[in-house]
Amino acid sequence: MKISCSQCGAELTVMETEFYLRCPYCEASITVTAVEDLPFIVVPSVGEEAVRRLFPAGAIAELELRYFPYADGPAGPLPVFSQPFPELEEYRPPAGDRKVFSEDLAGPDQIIPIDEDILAERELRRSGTVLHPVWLAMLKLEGYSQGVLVDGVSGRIVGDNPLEGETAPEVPSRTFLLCLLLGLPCAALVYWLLHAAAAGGSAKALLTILAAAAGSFAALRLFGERGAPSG
Amino acid sequence: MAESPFVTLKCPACGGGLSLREGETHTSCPSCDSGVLLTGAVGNYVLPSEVGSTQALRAVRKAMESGWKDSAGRSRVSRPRLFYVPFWHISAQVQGYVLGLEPEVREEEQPRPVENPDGQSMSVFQSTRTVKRRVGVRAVEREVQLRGSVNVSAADLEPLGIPNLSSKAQMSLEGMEIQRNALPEGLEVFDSRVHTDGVFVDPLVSLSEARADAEEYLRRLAGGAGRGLEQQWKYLVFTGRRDCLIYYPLWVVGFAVDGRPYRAVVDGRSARVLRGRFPAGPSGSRYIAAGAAALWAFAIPPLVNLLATGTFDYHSGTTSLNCSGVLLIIAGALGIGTWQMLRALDRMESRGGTRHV
Repeated sequence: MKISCSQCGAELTVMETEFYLRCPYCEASITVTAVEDLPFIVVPSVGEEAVRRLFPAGAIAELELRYFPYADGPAGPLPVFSQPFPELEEYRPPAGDRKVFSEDLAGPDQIIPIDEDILAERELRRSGTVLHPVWLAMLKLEGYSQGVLVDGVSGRIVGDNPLEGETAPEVPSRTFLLCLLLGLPCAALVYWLLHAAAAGGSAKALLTILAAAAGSFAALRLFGERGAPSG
Repeated sequence: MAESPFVTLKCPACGGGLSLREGETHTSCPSCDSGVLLTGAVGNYVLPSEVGSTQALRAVRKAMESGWKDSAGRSRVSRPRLFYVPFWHISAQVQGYVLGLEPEVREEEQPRPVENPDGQSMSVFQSTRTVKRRVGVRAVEREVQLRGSVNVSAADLEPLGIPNLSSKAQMSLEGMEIQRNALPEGLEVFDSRVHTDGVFVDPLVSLSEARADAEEYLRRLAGGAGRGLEQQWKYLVFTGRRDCLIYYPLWVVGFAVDGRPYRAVVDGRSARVLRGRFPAGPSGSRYIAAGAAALWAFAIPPLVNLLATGTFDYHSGTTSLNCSGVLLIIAGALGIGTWQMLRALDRMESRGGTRHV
């Protein structure tokens, strides 16, 4: 379908999924749908600052607000979009402060298009959809970036937090103490036995260090197998 | 805000509202029953996934094991998900002219003074050099005629760790069969009855935006015709434009190792892991810690004996040493050293722990 931009007159080709777009030539926002078909929009109650506080300082490279369309189903809101966010598949957003969509509430770049196939499949109407605010935070993770979604109403992270369990399961000082805990009794036992037998100095030293090493590395084996916390 | 501009899709016969499905070229008006043919509809193509979910899992497993052998056994993998991500393929013919002023240069030979072999005198006319001298400008007209095509990301791939393709992007898509210009091979026409597996991601970038982006790229390409011109004017016309939407397969695999979540993206054509984070596994620091513990276990019993009896008996023979104080100071210093080393190792471990591709 072709329309012309109401501001600069440029001819634009519009897909059916687009109800609200930005003219690439003059940056004007254009609504391509009848007033009665406009969706509802939920006003975000969580601000940028609150989202930034969820992650360590400097972890967020970029933060953007997006609106994902949901339809009101009998069993709660149903997602009516197709976007590459596996964590949103099972997610059902909380109810928020609803308003009828108007152009001053969101920009065309913030709105995730409605998947008309899903609407048709479930026999839903576009006018019944609700645009739910979700913050998209681009996290910097050791030279790698990943997008994490934060609900704009509840302020909770959707899906798993990739920064969770950031402290490594291995703590060398704990390994040291555990090894010493088993190595020391072994070494002490051998030492005192040899002491009682009045063995020579270097033989005693050799056998004691063998006992100490055996004890310590036995502890390492034990620790290595069940030391890490299980999910 | 300015007056809201509304545009509605209307039936040309009765003016009623029309609804058209994506990819459809004809429909009938629900109010007046007249047939409507849509021209200029966009073709949708799919690059079908050649990788199954088990193959995608195997690729992730292999990547996991290459870093830390035990991690695959410790991992909890969720069901891999297939996403078909959209790209706009815009091809167009650029025709036009670049008008400009070309500097006119005259080459002149100038004598160059050269030192004579005797080192005393200079000979002037033995050698010459060429000097370019600008003598004016000439108006030129250069014709531009090129056919080019550009692929532009229609979805936002950055949350998956993959760079977006656009006229501004510098990065290419490493390891993927779709690149900035060429149409990938093996495309099939999209049919919702045939291509049922996977989620077909809706484009976030409108066709008009993609066209504007492609035009900018082609304009820059055509601008090469104006090389060396001072003050240039370009008149470019885009004709024979063909656009289509290409869906590219990507598998997204989420997994957790020891309760820590990770994610990897696998190419649906080559089964290569494109992007992902993986646990790095235990490092050598645990052996350092165990070795230090063994040394301390070895040293503590004779130190206790030394404190109790005043004899250090790892020495061959049982010579009494009168330097227990010195030994204890050395032991104390070594103790502090061990503690500092362990603290440093702890810090090192908490920083590392993941690696990425």
